[in-house]
Amino acid sequence: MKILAVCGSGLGSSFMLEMNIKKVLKKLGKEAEVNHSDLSSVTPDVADLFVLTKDLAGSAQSIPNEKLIVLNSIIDLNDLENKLHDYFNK
Amino acid sequence: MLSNLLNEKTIIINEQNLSWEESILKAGKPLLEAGSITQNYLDSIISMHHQLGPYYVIAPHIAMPHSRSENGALKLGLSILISKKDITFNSLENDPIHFVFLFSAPDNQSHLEMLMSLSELFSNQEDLDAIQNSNSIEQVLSIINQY
Repeated sequence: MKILAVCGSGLGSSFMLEMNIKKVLKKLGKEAEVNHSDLSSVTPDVADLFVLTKDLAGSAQSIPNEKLIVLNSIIDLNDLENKLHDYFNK
Repeated sequence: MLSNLLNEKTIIINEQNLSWEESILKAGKPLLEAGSITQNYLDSIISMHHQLGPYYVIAPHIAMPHSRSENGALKLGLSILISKKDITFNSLENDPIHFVFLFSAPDNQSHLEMLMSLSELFSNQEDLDAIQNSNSIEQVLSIINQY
């Protein structure tokens, strides 16, 4: 299982997001390979799940909805936990 | 860690009405003067915003503008604009913005420690509120120094 945190430049918010995803996965007892990247180098086949902020979601239309988690805030760990929980229990 | 990067020049308490472009230029000024970034760095943030939307608005009230190193990031740099007036970044969920944390990273590694410290700060709402309510740079620094 591969999870990719995505942001506009690939060096700021996606890294923060990657740290938070790792934190939440630990709490949920799930294992996955988590990385971060910029939007322009993302194609639907490079990961199983993509996590990005709502402000970027409109620019990521190549990624199918079922592989996408969209967040309002990258620092809201509760929201991230709920959405990852829902994803794993689908 | 953050206190190594911040000083009375790189912390700006803003009381004017600013557009999002103006707030980025204002936050970027001390980094330009310190030689951490080039003008092109700020221009590239603004043009990427026009292309992608407010990609650097990361949470309610928090913008963290940055661009790729090849666009003019010469040194590791961080500035904070704390705005007493609401700034609109056209971010549906996270406007109005009160904090502009502008950073520059000359490579893909040097800024990671800074981002970890910022991430800790962002998760402490009490400290963010205290920064927002600060009336002096000394007050802001006394909070920042814990990170």
